[in-house]
Amino acid sequence: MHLFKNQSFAHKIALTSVIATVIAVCTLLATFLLLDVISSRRVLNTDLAALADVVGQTSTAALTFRDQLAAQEVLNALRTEPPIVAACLYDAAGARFAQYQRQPGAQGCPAARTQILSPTRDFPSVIRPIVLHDEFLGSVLLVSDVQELKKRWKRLLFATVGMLIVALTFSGIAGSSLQRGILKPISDLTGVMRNVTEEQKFSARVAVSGNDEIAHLGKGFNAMLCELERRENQKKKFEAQLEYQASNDALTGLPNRRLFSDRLVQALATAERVHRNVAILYIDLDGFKLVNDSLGHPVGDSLLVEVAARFSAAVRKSDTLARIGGDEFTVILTNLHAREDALAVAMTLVDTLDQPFHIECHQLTISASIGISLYPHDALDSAHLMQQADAAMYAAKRNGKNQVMYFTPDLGVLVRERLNLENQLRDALANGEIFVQYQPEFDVLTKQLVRFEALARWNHPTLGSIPPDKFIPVAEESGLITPLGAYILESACVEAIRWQSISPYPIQIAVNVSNIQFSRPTFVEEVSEIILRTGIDPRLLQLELTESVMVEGINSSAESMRRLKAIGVTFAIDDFGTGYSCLSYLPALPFDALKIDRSFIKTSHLSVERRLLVQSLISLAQNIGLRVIVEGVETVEQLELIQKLGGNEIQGYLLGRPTTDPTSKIASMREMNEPLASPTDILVPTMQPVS
Amino acid sequence: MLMAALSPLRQGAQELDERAIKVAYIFNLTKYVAWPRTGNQLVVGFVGDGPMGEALERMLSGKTSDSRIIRVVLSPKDDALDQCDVVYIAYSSPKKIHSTLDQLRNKSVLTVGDSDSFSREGGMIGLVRAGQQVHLQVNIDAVQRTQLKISSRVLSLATIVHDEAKN
Repeated sequence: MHLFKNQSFAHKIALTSVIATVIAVCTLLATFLLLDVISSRRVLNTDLAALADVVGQTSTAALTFRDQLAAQEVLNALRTEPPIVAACLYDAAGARFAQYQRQPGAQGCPAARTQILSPTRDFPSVIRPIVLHDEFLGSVLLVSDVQELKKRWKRLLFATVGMLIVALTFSGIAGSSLQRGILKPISDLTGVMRNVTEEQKFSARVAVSGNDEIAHLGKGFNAMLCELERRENQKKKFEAQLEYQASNDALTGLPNRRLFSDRLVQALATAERVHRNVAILYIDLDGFKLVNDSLGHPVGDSLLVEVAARFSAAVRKSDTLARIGGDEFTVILTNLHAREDALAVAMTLVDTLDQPFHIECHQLTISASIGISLYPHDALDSAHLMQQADAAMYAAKRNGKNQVMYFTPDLGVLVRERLNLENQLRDALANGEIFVQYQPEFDVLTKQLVRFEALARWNHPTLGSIPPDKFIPVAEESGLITPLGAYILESACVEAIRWQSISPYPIQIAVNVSNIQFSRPTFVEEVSEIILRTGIDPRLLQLELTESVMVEGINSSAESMRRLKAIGVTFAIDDFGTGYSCLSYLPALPFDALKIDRSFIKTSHLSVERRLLVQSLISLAQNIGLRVIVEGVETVEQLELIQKLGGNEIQGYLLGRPTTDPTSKIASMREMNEPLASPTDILVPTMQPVS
Repeated sequence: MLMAALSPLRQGAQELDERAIKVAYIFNLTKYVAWPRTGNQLVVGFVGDGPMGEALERMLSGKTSDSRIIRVVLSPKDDALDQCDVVYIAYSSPKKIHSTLDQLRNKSVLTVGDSDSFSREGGMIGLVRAGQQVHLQVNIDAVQRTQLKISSRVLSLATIVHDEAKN
């Protein structure tokens, strides 16, 4: 059995068949031979006895007449009987009467009958009496040998071996045909299976013939392979799809961040080998968020697609343009001859945005800020190059947007700052680094302080004061805006309650609400809960929303506003005129006030057209029942203008900077015995104090 | 024993010896001959001259051959001649031999003689002296004319002769 353990099926069958054949044939032949030996000896003895009787009968006359010659002749006749080696006739007295020897000197007969030995193995002999008419005439002795038998056995043995060879041949043929019939298909099957497992080649098939079990197995196997192949193809398709999706941006079809990183690593490796420069352009669209917020994501998406198309047309095929985030694009420029080449490409990209975009019914103008980092000038690895390009882009943005800037080492801080902002913002809330400043707003006519606007501030332990336009977007992206907004609202309410005790008349509090906060389905409940908890009179609370609420579903926005207005909360549109406002939506929403963005009165000497625009805006708002608040009043001229144009309320550095201590401001105004009037009263004598 | 008893005279002994041999031959022959009629007696007749008749009677009478008792009849009458089973013809005259043989012609009687030409002239068995030995001559024609059967085993020892062409 050990012999069989490690053999293949084919060998086992062949071996079994050969062994079985050998055993069967050998047993058969051994039995056959043994029986033949026994029976041939018996036959020899019988034959000898019969022959002896014949010789005896033939010799009776010779013995009777004592004719030795005749007896000799009778015996000599035995020459035709090859097995007989010797024969003798003994007379009645037992004396040798005649003798025959096949070969003189060989086996003979004793001289007297009494000396005859019993037969031996090699010389079988028989002695028979010679009787005539009951009269004993003598004896005949025949001695034989087994030479003839041995020859016969030898022939048998040869025949046996021959038969064995023939049987083995036949068993070999039978075995091989069995192998063809059973094992060949099985080994084919095994081969195909091995192929499939090793090479994952599911297109392989087994050749099936006949209708036996093996054929069924083969068919089943083929069916299984078919299914496997189908699944494999499907899997490959999905994988290719996934691969594409994983490496390409679904919206623009450009490579995404992942593929970009791969390409960058490759590009750097190549550049290192051939000693060339590589530049990374980090592009961020200016004001894209505004488009998205005010016109909705579908418009924003379409804009991105258009921008991507213009950028693609502007870069070489060998350069990789990728979209790595919302409105962030990157370009890898390879084989640069000079540093200025990167700048040239960046400028070309900026220039592609000069022409406005026409998306749906909107005409949109957008610009881009681009940061450039260079290999090997700035850094050698992709991560640092990316950070540097990002930092350069950020610097361009801070520098006034629509610009291209190279990375310089002093920008390094900004990179880290932005990377860590989100994590730090999380801690900032918990650590109390976020605090609220209050900027006063005055009534243009009465010059009375009417409210403070609550402004979130972040006093970073190492970076110092971080402006809201930097951390509010981070808070909005990370979802931290919800707890942050709630914190500011609550703080503002608590603070406002304190004012009422020291102010002779109610002072409102204005709190900015992010669109993300406002669009939460639980927004109304969250605000109500804070109002109840702090105990503030809802009529003192003015929530300021941006224009984007007009895009994100007029109906739900209006509903939320109405529910809060029902308890006395008022609403203002903040920073009006910066987004893509649709004035037609304005009446649909129950606003109480409109805050004109500081950019409208930015320049100290307003052109006639701009003045007209502001005037129309004011009268338009007032016509639909909105108070108009003008932001960013920094000079007396601006103040006088607003007065002239009929604005209701004003806010700006001229009248008061944001402060953490509004209470003392209220108190100081009271001490001056002024009914909390604007400090500009002195400067503006035409304004009459309210009695 | 038979021979030892007859040995005193050399010449005579030799003749006696020869007669004994012939008698023994005749006795042995009876064992190899089959007669058409059987009985419990085997009759051996003697015609002719010489001492052979007396030797036959002395040595064969009362002996048993193949369970038949031998009776020797010396010079039987003519009509008794063909009642014998064996007739030993010892005439010195060839004429007498011929007339006896003619008389027994075609009869199932074994004719035995000891002249050299006996068998050639129509006798069945000739006991011919050849040197020291007595030799058998068998006229197969004469035997075959009768219903006698002589064993082939005897024939193989004998010299086979045929009838001489007559006339």
